[in-house]
Amino acid sequence: MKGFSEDIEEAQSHDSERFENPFSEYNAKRMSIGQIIDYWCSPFSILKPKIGDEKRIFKEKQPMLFMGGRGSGKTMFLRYFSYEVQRDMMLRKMTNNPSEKSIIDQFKENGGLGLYLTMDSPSLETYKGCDIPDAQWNHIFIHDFELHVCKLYLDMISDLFSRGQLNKKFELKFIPRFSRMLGMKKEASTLEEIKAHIDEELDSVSNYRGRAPFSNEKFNRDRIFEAQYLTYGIPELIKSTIDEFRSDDFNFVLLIDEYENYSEEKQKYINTLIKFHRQGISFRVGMRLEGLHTRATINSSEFLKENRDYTSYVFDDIIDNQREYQRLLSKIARNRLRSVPLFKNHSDIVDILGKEENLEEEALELTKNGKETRHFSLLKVVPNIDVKGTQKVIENSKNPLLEMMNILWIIRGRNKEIVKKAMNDYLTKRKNDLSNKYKSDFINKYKLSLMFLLASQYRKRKRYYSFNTFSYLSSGIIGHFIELCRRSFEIAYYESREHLIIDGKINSSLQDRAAREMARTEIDMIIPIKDYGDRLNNFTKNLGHLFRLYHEDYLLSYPETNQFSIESIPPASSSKNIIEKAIEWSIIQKKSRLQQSSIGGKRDEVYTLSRIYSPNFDITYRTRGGIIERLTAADIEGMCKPTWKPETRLKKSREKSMRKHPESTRRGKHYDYVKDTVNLDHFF
Amino acid sequence: MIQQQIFHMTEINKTQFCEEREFDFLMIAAGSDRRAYEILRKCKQHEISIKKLIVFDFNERRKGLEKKAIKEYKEFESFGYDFSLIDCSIMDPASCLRSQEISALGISSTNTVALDISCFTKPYFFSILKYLKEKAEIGKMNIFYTEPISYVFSKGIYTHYHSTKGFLHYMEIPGYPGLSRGGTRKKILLILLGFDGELSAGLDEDISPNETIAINGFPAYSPIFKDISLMNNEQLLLNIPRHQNLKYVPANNPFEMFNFLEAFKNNYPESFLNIAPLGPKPMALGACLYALSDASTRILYPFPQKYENKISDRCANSWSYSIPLK
Repeated sequence: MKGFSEDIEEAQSHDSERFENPFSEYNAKRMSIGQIIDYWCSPFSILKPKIGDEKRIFKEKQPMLFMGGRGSGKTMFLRYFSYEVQRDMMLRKMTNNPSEKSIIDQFKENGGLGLYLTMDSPSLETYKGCDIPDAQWNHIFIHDFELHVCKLYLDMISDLFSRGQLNKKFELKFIPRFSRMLGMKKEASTLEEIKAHIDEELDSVSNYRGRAPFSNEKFNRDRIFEAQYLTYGIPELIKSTIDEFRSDDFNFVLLIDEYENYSEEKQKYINTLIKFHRQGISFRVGMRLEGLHTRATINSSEFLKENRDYTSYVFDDIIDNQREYQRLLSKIARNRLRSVPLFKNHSDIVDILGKEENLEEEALELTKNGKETRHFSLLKVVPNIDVKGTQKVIENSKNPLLEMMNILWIIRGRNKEIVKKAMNDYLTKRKNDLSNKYKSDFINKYKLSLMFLLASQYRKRKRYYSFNTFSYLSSGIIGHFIELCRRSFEIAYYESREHLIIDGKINSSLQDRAAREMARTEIDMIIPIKDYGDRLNNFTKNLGHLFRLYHEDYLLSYPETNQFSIESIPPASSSKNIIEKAIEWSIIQKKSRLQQSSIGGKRDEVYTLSRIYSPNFDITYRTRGGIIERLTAADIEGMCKPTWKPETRLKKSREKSMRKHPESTRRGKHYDYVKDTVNLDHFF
Repeated sequence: MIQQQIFHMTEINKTQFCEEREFDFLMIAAGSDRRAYEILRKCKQHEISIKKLIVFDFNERRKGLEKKAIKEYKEFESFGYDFSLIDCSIMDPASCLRSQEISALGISSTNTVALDISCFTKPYFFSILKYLKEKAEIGKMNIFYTEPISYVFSKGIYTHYHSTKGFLHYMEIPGYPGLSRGGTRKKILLILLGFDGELSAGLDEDISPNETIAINGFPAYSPIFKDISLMNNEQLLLNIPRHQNLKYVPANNPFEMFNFLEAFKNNYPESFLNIAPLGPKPMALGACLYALSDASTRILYPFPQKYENKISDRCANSWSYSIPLK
């Protein structure tokens, strides 16, 4: 007789026809080997310092640390170089070309092979407590870690053997010596027996962790492995007993992921492995930014030193080369689109999303094709102005953004006739100083800011759409870009299916909705961050609102401000911790180069609020030069509180006047940052 | 392995109680919710004998209670049962179960034991059951559960339900680490959906299993609950690639949950099952019973900075589940 659940399942099976979103899988840990291969796009051309070709991941003796935010592609990167993925790629090659070399020969040609290791945080958290001394837990962890590594080696050897890639004779030497190394009571005669023994040992650790909370028993095994014993011992054994791996140049590479999950004590142990790695074994370690909790090793006088003991690579920095970054995103999207039959004929994401936003069109739409002229009310801030008369002179109903540009010039003290001439000369491409200045201000400086300002005048929101915008919003984190696409496709499939599938297009409002939903979700994900969630949440929101105020300034004194620098803060202070946590979780991003915080100011570390949050605060999605907010430790502390007022800070920190037009306030609050009269000459 | 045929589930009402008429020990969690002592009221009504009432007194709950709530919290004293108060912390079930106070009670396999899970946090009652099975070697026991009429939705029923406050720490429930075999087995995460969507999405993100299965309680205590849980878990459900990965199991029957998990495991014998019991307690109880019978299964749960003081409202039906632990 069928159970209730089975009935439900049967009913569900009839509803199996479902949209296959090409961007639905963005977590590389979940991907199948096939997906890793199909979706792989090499980031080598934009990683800094240059790595060279892919083979260097296997051949390079120096350990490498790969850092990056959640979704930046670290796991994809490490898994791609794992034994299983490389093996399947080789098998594909062999299928396509029967004369291709055998798997083992291809590994030899690569110069090494990688073993991917990940331990999740819930299990790493349990090696403590239960009235058991920390030192004892450390021994148990080391024993368990060594067993994890052993299992990886064993599975790899076993797989190669089962595929006929190893000479059968290897068993005669390898298996008995391996048995002895493991301290097996009865010498094993097959790899299966060794695997069963390792499984038993691994289970014994898990079972102990399960019993420890309720009992006082000690961890007791015939053999407890010490640090390095198997991690280094097995590759040495393999090289000395398996002919295929005998070459001195062949490297076994441990690909350790999610290093930030390891506590300081555990990192000390692995740091020791990294620092004193032996010939024939190296490490590639993936972690969040700030995920290296300590540089210490178990030897109190030895520390990891960058460039001497390891080279580090920051994935998020790939956005510094925007053109290459966009090329990479486009390729990533193409691989995904091609894997779904529905999009076979529409595999260009640039085409689907549109290359760039069309601000003029958006502005026209906002003003109902120029029929609405509410934005001219901004002119009222100029004393004794004839608003209607001025409007008649400077209006251009076909391009409300030019009207906004003209309004800005008028507010800043230009004569209306001169403004009109500047616009006309610019439109008719007549070159002179005035039209050049007009063009430079409009195209290079203010266009996007004017769009934000225009939208705020109509109490509407500027849209976030196009491939270019999404690439900026993603902030160098590939996973963000994939998620923006996934959400856009999901919404478009249900709300504009024909346009998506037949025309291969997603309209701007649907893209905008996806971007806003994602921004909101990302903000929501700050609260659960361990220990710092509440404060980071306030800090992020306050920072976003502060930048938002810059965007609402009708004088556009500091257009598109979204960066800040930090005045020296004490090393072990709570504000320092906040900044480190914000970097670790990619809430803020440190720019790869030092930058002047103001014209003529000293060069400093500069940070940007992750642009993925931009739609939440209606601020720019890109990073321009311009002004950089300079925050002190006290500012940071203050911004971690919900009561902090960005307006108060602006009054203190800005030299130039910033004003918000009373009629433009969406929230109904009227405020002026500077009470004195606008000094119109100040801006020219 | 527990046999699915030998369960027994009885509704406790004015006319019927469970078969057992006396218990050596009844374990309850102190609380100011009406549900906390509903079973004691019914025991009294049916003249059930309880030799020792073990009251888990949570520091976090007791602190900051108002005068009226303190009176409600201490109501267990008024039933006339001999009781032992166990001082404990919600955040750390293991320490409490290792305490002298618990071992001094001398609970053993010869005792008749019952546990009212209504006001225990899930990690607590999971740990207690593990303790009773492994340490006290209890073979069979009764579990009581009182359903709430509703839950407290402070800002509306959709998307604003929070059972926890502050940061979350996804951890193994003490005693349920499972057998990961060096992380080389396929990791499957089964999430029993609750109303707090942030928990499920965060857990799924943190664990990043090879496959995620969402299990919704249906039929639910109230028809709308199944929809609320789907709406609130939208973020998780959007990330589940296949529609088939959303399953339904009755919300008030632990044995259906047990059977579902057993059948699931049979289909994926080589996988490393991770269960996150975020949903209704009877479903969680089913998951607990399953994990007690299959030590290879890991139980995960978000440990928050703080639980909300009041998340449920009044009492609906009370149930007695007769369960085998051996």
